Amino acid sequence: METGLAEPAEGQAIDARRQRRLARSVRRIAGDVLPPVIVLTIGILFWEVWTRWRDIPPYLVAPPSMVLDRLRDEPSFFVGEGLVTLYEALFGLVCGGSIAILAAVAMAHSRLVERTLFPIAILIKVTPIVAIAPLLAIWFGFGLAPRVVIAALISFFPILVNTVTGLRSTNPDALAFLASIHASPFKVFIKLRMPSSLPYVFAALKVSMPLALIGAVVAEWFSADEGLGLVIFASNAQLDTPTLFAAVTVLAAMGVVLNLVMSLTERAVLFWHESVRESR
Amino acid sequence: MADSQHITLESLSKVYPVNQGRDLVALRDIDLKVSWGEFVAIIGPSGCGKSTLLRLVGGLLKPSAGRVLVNGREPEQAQRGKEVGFVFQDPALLPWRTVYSNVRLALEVNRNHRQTRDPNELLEFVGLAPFSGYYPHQLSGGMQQRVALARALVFDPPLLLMDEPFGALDEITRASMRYELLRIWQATKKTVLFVTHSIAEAITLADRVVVMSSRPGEIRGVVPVDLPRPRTEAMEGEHEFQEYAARLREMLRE
Repeated sequence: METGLAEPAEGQAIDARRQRRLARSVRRIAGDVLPPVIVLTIGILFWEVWTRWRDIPPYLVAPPSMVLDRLRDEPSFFVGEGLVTLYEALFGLVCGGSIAILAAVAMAHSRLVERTLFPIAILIKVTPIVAIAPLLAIWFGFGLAPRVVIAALISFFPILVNTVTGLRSTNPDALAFLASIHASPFKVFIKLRMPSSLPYVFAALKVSMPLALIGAVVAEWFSADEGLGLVIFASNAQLDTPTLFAAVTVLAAMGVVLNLVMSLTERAVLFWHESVRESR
Repeated sequence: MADSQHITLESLSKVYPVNQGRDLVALRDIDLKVSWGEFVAIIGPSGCGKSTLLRLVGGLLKPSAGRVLVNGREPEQAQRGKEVGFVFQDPALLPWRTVYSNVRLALEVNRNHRQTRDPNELLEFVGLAPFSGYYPHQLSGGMQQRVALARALVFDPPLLLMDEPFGALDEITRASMRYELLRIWQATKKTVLFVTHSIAEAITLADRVVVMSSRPGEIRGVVPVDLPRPRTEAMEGEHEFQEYAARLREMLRE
């Protein structure tokens, strides 16, 4: 009989565990969150002092206080435009991601399909999306469509490649076990291949999500009457640098929040995977 | 029972095509009969085709020549009838499933099989009932392997194929697992084909030890082990046990 794991004396053990978890999250905040926040704060203070001390004109570099004022002047404007961009990016990510996953399933199942589709996927990947954005504007007009399409195109490739790898990286002995009890290919897919691929899919989503945001912003430069990309484009033309900085700040904040949501979801879904277990 | 022998191998060969013309002969002319309820250990150096042999019997591979009969039929049919339980060196549990749910997996894959066993009962049987809600990463290697054993028993197959199941365990756990397996074998009276690197393991467990040579994999000899059952750890120190060990070592060295 192995030792290692004894049956816990229920109540006490749970209390102790809760305390340990609390201590751990306090330590995590102190260790992981505090240092970058301190450095960032020092950087912003330095920026503020520097622009005021050297009398840098705001159209070159706007001091943080001015950017903050700008945000406070019209919060609903920035939130509104931000939501448009966020919507385009997420819609694009969902569309591009779904197609990528479907294609990946087909490619993981058949080498012929893989050989057919992979060059096309590479073609999409190597074509600079910025270069075809104006074309998409011509095709799809100035509505939501071209922006969603660009966000979808740009997030497509990482998800495709990672999902194919994930679907193929199943434990060979687990596969052999399922074969030994005569499991159908469908069951093997549902019970083994799909869950095995999830760590790879999440890694891809973390790469593709900021890409989708970039895609949406760039698309708005060419074909939009709304969104943060347009705000950046317009304020740049008018040398309204505080507005430009404010728009960038909102974009960055959205990126941070999205990343956080994704990481928390990943932790919850992949509780069993080494990558999540080791970071605990 | 339909056939007097549980497993029959007749001039069985398996060749893997490597490059043009240069094939790898994994197994050559294997003849072996295993009767019902017998415990047969297969021992040999790495690369002697032991795992290939097991996979041929389990119907996971097709022979290049000769034939395999399980209960007088093709291995595929035995596989379809869930008459074979497989345990590998890697427990290969699904990490996102609890211990209980891992044992249940086979039932979810084949809903309409008639003869099944309750996963809870099986966990009790391998001594893991208190851990049914745990996840595999919370268990030691030995415990994980016992879950894999329980998983292989869900359809109550008359034949267990074990591919170095204790190969990745530490020596102490490994020794205790041998007697655990013997207890289970004696309680269920299944036929076991057990691949191992360990001479002591083969002698402790088996009714007969099949010694194989490598490249090409051939049977060098079969040694019946006439030690009384139930076997105990004390026997490993006895003269007779040591004689078997010396003889097997000699055969492996040739």
